[in-house]
Amino acid sequence: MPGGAELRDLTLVEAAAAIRDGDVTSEAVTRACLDEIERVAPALNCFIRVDGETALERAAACDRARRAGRPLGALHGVPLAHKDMFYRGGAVVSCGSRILADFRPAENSVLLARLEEAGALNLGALHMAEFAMSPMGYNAHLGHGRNPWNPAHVSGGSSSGSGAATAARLVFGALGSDTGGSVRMPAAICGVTGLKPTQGRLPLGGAMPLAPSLDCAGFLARSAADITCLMGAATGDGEMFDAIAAGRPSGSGGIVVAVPDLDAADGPMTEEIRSIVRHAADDLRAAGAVLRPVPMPDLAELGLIANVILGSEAASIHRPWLESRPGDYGRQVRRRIERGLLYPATRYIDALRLRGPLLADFLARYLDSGAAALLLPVLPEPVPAIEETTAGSETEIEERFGSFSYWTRAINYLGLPSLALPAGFTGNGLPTGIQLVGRPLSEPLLLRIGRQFQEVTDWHRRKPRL
Amino acid sequence: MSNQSDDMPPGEAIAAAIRHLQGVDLPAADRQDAIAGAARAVAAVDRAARKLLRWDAVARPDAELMRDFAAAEGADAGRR
Repeated sequence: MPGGAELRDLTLVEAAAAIRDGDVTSEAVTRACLDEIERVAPALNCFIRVDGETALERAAACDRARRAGRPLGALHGVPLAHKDMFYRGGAVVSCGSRILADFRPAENSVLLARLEEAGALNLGALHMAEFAMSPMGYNAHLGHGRNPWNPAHVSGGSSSGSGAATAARLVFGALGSDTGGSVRMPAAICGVTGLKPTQGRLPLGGAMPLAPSLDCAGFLARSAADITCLMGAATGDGEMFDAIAAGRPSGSGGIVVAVPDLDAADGPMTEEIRSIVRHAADDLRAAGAVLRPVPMPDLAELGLIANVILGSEAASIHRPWLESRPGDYGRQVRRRIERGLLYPATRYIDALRLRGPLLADFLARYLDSGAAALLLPVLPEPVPAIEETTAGSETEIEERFGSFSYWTRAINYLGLPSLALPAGFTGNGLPTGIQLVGRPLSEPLLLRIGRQFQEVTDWHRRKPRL
Repeated sequence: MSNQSDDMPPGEAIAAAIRHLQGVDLPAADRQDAIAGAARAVAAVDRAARKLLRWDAVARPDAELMRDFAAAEGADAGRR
């Protein structure tokens, strides 16, 4: 039987196969993860709660089921953990906040139930930004999430623990949520793969709402193949996901990927990031994609319009607490939610009415005529150190937040799926990533491109030294 | 409130309106940033609406919108 480190180095797909085939036990894999969580999780601040005993009991039950020859789900015995905003009946679900520090929902979220039906184990609750409101992983109550590649740097947000725990090989995958980039940013920042599905593709029953018109549950894992498996379990369409995502393009033509003019000045992007995106385009071509040049999209206006929806909906949800418990919010979070109280209802409705025409315009410009995906960066700059993200006035910090999510927030407004893939390292030794934005409901195709990209690159196999 | 707000600085008047309509006290230190941020975003909605929004366009549930676009893609692919 392999040792703990070897077990944790398996991908989710490999671990699931090894458990299913009886090459390893779920109990051994789970114990390996729990031992490493005990060793490194406190320094990374990525777990809010570890449910080790329950996980080990469930792992033993999974092993008994396998020995008894019972039918096994796609995730049978595989240890996962999730952002602390997916309801688990009877357990505290804090949503990273002081306000919900004692919140115990009665039932499981739909997604947790589906993952457990597929056999997955849950090792505990992962760190997140307070009410999912920071792209950096800042939390005034829980402290910062820390990056496994360098704990002095941010782990990204708001699914900060999902990114860090997956990158550190503490779990094989994790649920996160993405309202303005909160799956894709921590994925890129921690060097893992992350999928923000199409708006409405995954059910959000029993998950904390932030801005329901923009909220998406999504997965972080080490590879596109791992996410294919998770999406299959979460949607109940495993066969379809496997068939399309694992397929090869037929005939002589490869999949078309639209590549924007990276020399255009639009949008924040350092030279270092620009160079990494260029290399990623070359790798996509090497993987068989046909690159099609398109203009650089202007995401600034779409991002501002997204702010109106995010602010209005978040303020509606939080208004009673802003009234009764304003002192229980972290200052940054309160300031950003308060802004939503100022948006006129007319403009909120206009922002929703504009979604159809702006989506049609975006698809026609960038994803028309057979293009399966649009290549964009996830981050505008190298991963910052924690102290850089707290320096300056509140106004400066908020401006930086806005710039940091420039490449992701607009995609939520459009509701499109987007796959974030590790694509290299910047000069400070921290990872960064690209995203492939697809047409509505094209997740399997994006995952296919991601898998082909990861056949010619090894960024997703790199692991931090801890 | 309206008689008093004529003499108030804009930030204070807006904070008074928020207190009155939403029941929330907007701290003085947050007011200017909140107003400036909201104004920038509202202006972007207005610019897009002037270009693209017909009076009879209605907001539709997100999932319905996405299914429509995916169906249109499927129909296009079928024609190709």
